[in-house]
Amino acid sequence: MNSLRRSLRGESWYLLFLLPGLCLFLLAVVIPLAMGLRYSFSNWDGVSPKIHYVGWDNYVKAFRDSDLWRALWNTFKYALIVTLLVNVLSMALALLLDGYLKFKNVFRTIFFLPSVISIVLSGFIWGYNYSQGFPQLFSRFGIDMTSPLGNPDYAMLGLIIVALWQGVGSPMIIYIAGLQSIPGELVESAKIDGAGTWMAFRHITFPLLAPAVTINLLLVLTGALKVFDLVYVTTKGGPAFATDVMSTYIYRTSFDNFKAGYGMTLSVIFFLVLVAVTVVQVGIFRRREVDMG
Amino acid sequence: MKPLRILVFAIVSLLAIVFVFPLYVAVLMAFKSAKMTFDSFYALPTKLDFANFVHAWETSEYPKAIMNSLLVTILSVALIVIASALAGYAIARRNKPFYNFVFLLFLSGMMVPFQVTMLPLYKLGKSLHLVNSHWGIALIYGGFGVQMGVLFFSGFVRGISREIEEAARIDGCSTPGIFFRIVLPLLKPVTATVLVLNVLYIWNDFLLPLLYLQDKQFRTIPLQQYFFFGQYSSDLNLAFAYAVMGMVPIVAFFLFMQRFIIKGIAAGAIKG
Amino acid sequence: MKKTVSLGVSAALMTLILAACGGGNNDSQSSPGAGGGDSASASPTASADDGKPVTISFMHFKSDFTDGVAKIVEQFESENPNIKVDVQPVKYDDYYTLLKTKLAGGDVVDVFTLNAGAQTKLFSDGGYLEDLTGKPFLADFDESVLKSQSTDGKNYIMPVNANPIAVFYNKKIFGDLGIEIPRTYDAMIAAAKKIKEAGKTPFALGWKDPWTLSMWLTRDMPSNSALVYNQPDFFEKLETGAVKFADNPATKVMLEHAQQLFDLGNKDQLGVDYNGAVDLFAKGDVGMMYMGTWPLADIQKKNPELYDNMGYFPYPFSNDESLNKLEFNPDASLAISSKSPHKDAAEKFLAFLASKEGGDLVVKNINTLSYVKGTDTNIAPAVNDLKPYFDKGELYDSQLYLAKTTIDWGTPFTQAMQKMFFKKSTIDQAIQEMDAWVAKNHN
Repeated sequence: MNSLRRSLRGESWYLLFLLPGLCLFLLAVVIPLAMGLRYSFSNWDGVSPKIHYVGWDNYVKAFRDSDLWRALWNTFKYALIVTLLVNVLSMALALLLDGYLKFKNVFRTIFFLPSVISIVLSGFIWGYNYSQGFPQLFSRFGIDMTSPLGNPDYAMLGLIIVALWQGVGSPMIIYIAGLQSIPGELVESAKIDGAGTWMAFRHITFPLLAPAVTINLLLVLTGALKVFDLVYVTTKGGPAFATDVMSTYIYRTSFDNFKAGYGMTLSVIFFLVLVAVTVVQVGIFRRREVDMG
Repeated sequence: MKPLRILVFAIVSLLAIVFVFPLYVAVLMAFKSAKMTFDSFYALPTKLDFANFVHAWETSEYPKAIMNSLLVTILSVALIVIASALAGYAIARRNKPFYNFVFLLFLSGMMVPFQVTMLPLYKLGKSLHLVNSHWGIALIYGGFGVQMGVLFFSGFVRGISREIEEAARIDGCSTPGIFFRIVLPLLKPVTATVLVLNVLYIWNDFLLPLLYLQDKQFRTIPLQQYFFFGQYSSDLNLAFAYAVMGMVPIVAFFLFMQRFIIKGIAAGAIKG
Repeated sequence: MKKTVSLGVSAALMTLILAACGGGNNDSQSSPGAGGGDSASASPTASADDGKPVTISFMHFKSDFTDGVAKIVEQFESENPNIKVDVQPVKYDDYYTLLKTKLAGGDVVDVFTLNAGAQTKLFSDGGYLEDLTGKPFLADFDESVLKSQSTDGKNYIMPVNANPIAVFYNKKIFGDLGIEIPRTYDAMIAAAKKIKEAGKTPFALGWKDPWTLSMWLTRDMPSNSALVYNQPDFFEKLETGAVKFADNPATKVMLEHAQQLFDLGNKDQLGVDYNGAVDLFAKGDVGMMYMGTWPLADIQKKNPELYDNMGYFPYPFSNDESLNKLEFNPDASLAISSKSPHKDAAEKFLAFLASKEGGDLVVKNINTLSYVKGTDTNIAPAVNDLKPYFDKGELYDSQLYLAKTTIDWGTPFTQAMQKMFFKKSTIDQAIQEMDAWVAKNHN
């Protein structure tokens, strides 16, 4: 009896601990999401105080919307490439700057610096450099260069470079931290046992870095799938819709085309896709943790 | 081994130059007049001219924007750290379906596209008087940041041995007692991680302040920067001067915190 | 040192716990004072009684002329000491998003700028606009102007300023190559080819910014459609799905024009933005630039010599000289919120801008032309070239042919065109693509 009461009291403390976080989450995410969900069943123009509900029409329409599929394809192409490149580059830098190179603090600062400034600003700086700075620089060496953002074939690449430049810093720091928590003797002893640098990395360093990989993959992927600012300030989805991602498509539908209701529908669909991605991802990580454990 | 090291050093240095170059152009622009840039793009300014900075300082209410950014960032980050440390701890220690469900809820919350909640958030903010208030926007950032924060804190707590806590419980310590006296001090490293990621995000965020802090007196740096860019869109040099000014505090923050951050994160490592 | 830092941090954390718990629980359920009192500062509670000071909010999209607008407002405030104007400039790109969010969220903006046509219709349908029909200050405008800016037969907006959209040209290049001012489309292309042969750039385009390409597209196409091919109501019908782009020869003509301009444009046509194009033109190596009067101040600053030695001619959209009049478009117009608690003060502000004094201030500070009768027109040497067209009244407004269209066909069309520029589709495919888009989006 006594122990039951105690355990109940213990439980209520934990529930209380959840409360502040849940309340904030409810306020900023759940309630607005529920409101948005309601609009997704309407043909609201985004301005009118009157809202006319149309049932599932928007959802039916969405599945036949070729623009939606194109935007989804672009979004995933962008997000997967960015996630992969950011993680490879930041891990490589982390390995080198964990101790291998001189002036490591200077380098760390340099590679982290771009993530400190806002995306709006870096989009602005890069847009300017792509169209003015680089061409003028390269023309001195006789190379003719045009802005990748102005060519449908290279615009996505141009964006990915900016994302890479801006996005390497934080994951790099997290990888460095992960590396520093690996006991140095472990790698040393492996090398004494005759393992090469690569073997030591493959069998000792990398597995111990797994938690950092998990976190970084999740953070970068989430951010990249939801990319908006960067595209909006540099290409607005163009040229020829080559960089039109979900968030810009939703934005354009809601605000430029006076179809806020349909925009909400697209957002809800996108949200469901993202949740599916998360579930898959968490599932993979869970299984790997079990394997390792 | 030696030549390899030099080669790697050269490659990393080259990469570093590529990384710095765009920022170099920004700073270069900030120090030149429109005419000078127009005449020669890469030429260094003939003299160190702070005219753009002076003009930008005078016309943009920079100090007020800095104060607003500081206030919003500090309030929000404080909320995030507290709320997600508590929730993360509860989730990590109660490995029950309900807590796992809450965890997944937070995780999927990270996936909500801002566009879907933008209009409703504004409506909600209006009706709850959260618009044009530092506290109001901090509460929303709190709600955004707590999702990732819970991920970090719960992962970290799972990696801490329960032994001390069990011992303390046997000694009669209550759950909050255990949390505040024993667990919280151990959370410093992961707190540093959450702190840095959120400070960077909130300091630089643009869309939410655009909705929530439209009043001149509440504008943060990116917002003020945006309005400033709009006003001087044809005078890029002035815009870049303002951009450089806006970068200074956050770069200083990073340089100051750098050692602490890496040490802090490393001290406990990240446990996903 | 390190010890003190970490001690400080945890001490701060401890104090904040208390604050956070309270805050987190209260604020999501009800709305205590925590939100700060002056959230409604945009619309203070003071009534519009004469004598009592009131503040009206004024949101506008002429953000690149923020200082100029501030000067106009200053003058108004000094003449009306009881009225304060809280000015909120917003960049055009985000203006309508912000305005929609605010109004739909229940905010009141007393006075705001709108574009005549679709945007005005949207807001008047939503019931956000005060009907200004018959207000005394509208008498300062030409009846035809008011008519062209009316929505469903009523005046919800007051025209403020107007811009010619025409072609700037470099007089020195034209002189050196012996080129006459082209009066037909073919003559303009011939001139451009001559400039290209001379090793210079014929057109500065700056089509990276969606609005620059869209500005040209939404003028060339309706002009040709209405005036050459006699389909003035084409876009109205497009809205209902009654016609298709494929049925209108103007579509193909416009796309051919676009391809020619692109081929004769500066290098990196879609990578250089508006500012870049203006810079190119200001450098003096470019023959022509299709643009409004906005870049004049910038060019004056960067190349004063060119500023005095450049001209301006109407864009010849067709090969019929008599049709190629000067495109003269309204820019910003003003609306009063139907929910404004200070309508009297807001009307005073509009009346001020409708006066000769206000109109002249607009001309001087925003570097534009005013619709107010009798206002100054001398804004730049180049603009004086257009004087004959103003004097003879050889003006037209292609935007009238778009006024009843609410679907935003310009954006997808620019994207379809960009595909065509890079040979990823043909003209016919671009037209097909557009018709498919309209089929999906018409009402």
